[in-house]
Amino acid sequence: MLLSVEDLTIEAGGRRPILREVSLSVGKGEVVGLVGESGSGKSTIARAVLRLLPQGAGVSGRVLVSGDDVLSMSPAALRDLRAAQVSMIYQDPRSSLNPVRRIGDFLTERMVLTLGRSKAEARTRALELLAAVGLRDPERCVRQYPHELSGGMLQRVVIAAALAADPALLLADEATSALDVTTQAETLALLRRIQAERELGMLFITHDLHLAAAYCDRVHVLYAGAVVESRPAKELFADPRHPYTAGLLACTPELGDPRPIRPIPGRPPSLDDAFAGCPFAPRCPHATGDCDAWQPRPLTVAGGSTACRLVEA
Amino acid sequence: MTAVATLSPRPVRPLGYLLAAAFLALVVVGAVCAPLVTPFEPDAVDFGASLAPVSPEHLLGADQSGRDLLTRILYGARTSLVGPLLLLAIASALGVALGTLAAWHRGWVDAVVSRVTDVMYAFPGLLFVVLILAVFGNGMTTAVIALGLAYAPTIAKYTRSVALAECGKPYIDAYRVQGMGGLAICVRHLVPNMGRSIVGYLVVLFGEGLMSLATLSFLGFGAQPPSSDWGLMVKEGQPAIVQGAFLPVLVPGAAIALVVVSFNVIGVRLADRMGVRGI
Repeated sequence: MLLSVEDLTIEAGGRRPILREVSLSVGKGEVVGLVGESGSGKSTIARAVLRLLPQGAGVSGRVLVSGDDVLSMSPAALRDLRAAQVSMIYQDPRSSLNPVRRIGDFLTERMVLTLGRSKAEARTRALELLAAVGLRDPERCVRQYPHELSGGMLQRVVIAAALAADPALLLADEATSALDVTTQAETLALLRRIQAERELGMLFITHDLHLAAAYCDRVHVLYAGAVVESRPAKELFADPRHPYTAGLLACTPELGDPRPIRPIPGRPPSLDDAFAGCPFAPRCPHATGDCDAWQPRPLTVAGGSTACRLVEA
Repeated sequence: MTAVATLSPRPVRPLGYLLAAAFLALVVVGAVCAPLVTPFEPDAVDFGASLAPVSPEHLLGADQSGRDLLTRILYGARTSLVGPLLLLAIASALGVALGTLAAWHRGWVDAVVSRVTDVMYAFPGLLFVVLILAVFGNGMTTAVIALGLAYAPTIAKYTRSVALAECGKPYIDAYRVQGMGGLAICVRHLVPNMGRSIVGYLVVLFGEGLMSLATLSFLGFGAQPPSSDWGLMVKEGQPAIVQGAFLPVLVPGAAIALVVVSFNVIGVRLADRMGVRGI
């Protein structure tokens, strides 16, 4: 396995952990989706893969990238991992580029500093990469500053930078959420093409369950820092087993559907909400009294697992 | 047709800023080209012209020894402007390094740097400088180094606050996850991005530094005779007041005041333009 997260728990001072016993894995050439509301811990997982943990966090469990534990490796090994094996694509490309440096510098600098390539080699490679992500006129682009490019173009630059080191694993953290819908479609297609060409493993984080279901091979649904359902995307979409997944799918409005929008009642849990039993029980339409006392654990269902006691009944 | 109130399309003309800039340019050019501007030597004694009033020959008069005051002001500008420059170079090298280190490392490094700067803050700066001068002896070099050390905590504190905000921006994390080392990120990205606001702050500090150096020279700790440092000129001109001649004190005093005010005006305008208020 390229990436395997085992029983990862991260605590940072709230009344409940940010992440509770999260396990997931990403294989070579596989796209794994991670879906959840804001605050559910999606980004924390991606950041933990690069050991960017919240200040003063208590961590247990393991995060293995190609068999090496990220959480316990030496600083030198960690830098090597960040430089060459894992790349991250962020939600907001504009703020993830240094505003005072040219695009070309952004791309070549890491190749020169962390991968030890020569300047000329890095420049040629940067031009190749920009062409590969579909930017017209890369020669012009390397001389431009971030404010001269549009959001979609910048996201392509960020993707190009992520590919600079030929990583094995891509972490796409809401990579297309800040883009408008047409640019989003182009960027998604581009990511998919690159992922397939290079057989990359990809952890695709989004709040859009429909997008994840259409885009990924497998999907993990996250609620209050715990995985509530892990299934192959198509099965999850066709037959959600956890009430939260079902609620997420049902609350998307559809054209031509005269019924009013059906949101999940209640509000997403904050770090100050502690739960004795199932964290979704207060908002769950199917909850019974026993749910408040049932400690969620993954139960096997067709194709994967879900953390709801009602599937047994 | 009803008139619609709009914001005035043209910003207020920055008259004060232009005046200040023009005055400083004049002083700098005068200091650099001093030998071309005046026919006198700064320390050429001419007792015939002792305490001469303003005249076509001595444009700003002369002091007790008959030395031309305009000449001395222009030559003195060299020490009086280069001094604060070196002082700030020392202070900002130290301060920016410490402030960046504290903001980058957080934790105990931050605690140590912050507490040390707090203690330095609580201790009167001039007293600290006089202490150093008492140990290492008077002189311009010692005064500049001592003031450089005294100004470093101020800059460190400012840099730390700017750096903390800058470190929270995603592009810094982006470099981090590319596997770049802390030193490379700080030197190549963090510091250049803070450059604008730090320079704006330094411009205001320049005026303060000039005044502190002049104070030290006035007290006899800094520049030594026969230098024509402005602070020293004020000190040496003092006895002339008793004889009814104000020019030997007024001229260098006005030079100090005008230059300091000019730097403040420019510094505040720079801060305004960058949207950094309240420094």
